[in-house]
Amino acid sequence: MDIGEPQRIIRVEPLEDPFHKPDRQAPLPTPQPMPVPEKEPAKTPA
Amino acid sequence: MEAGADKAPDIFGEIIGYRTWAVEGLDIAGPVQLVSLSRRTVWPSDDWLYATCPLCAPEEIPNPECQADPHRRRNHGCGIHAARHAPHLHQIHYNRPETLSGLWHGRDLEVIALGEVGLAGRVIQGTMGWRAEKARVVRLWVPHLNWRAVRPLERRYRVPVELINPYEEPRHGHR
Repeated sequence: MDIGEPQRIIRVEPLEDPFHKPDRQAPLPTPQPMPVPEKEPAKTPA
Repeated sequence: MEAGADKAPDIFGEIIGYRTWAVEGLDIAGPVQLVSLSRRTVWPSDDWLYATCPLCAPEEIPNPECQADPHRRRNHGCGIHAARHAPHLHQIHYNRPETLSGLWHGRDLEVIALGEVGLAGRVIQGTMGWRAEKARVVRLWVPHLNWRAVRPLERRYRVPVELINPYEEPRHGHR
């Protein structure tokens, strides 16, 4: 197809990639149970 | 005229151009395909089509001085070609299978599709069209006679596909 006389060269950048394939995310880490602080023994009043 | 690769883009988005394709694979098992008339390039459905050239360096594609056209025609160098306006396809008879058969490598051209393409990357702006580094199918129009191609093309390319009267010149696009 004849596009006619070239006039200028331009750069065109899509705003987003229409073929974007979502990156495979690393599996979420298995949540570890939070350490429960040991209960301090009740202080006996003097 | 140059646009440096290290400079900010001139346009954010895509340029819309207009093209015609042959439609293959309609009557055989396997996917239906849009095929360019000149080089029989199959247009991908899940990626950009990237222009190639046997003579020009990749960073020069499309090259306004490209001499790769086997017939040495002016303005027929590398890059993905598209018309600036849909009526131009009609003016150069790219809307009629019967007149395109001569381009179709000696075979009868039965099914065609016209449509919009999104153009991006390095793009040469011409007085009647564009030559682009990469392109993708955005919308398709199929002559009424080729109605059987509508659903396969929709499924394959995941773009809107409409039936048209190919002999009616649109004022602008087919919208």
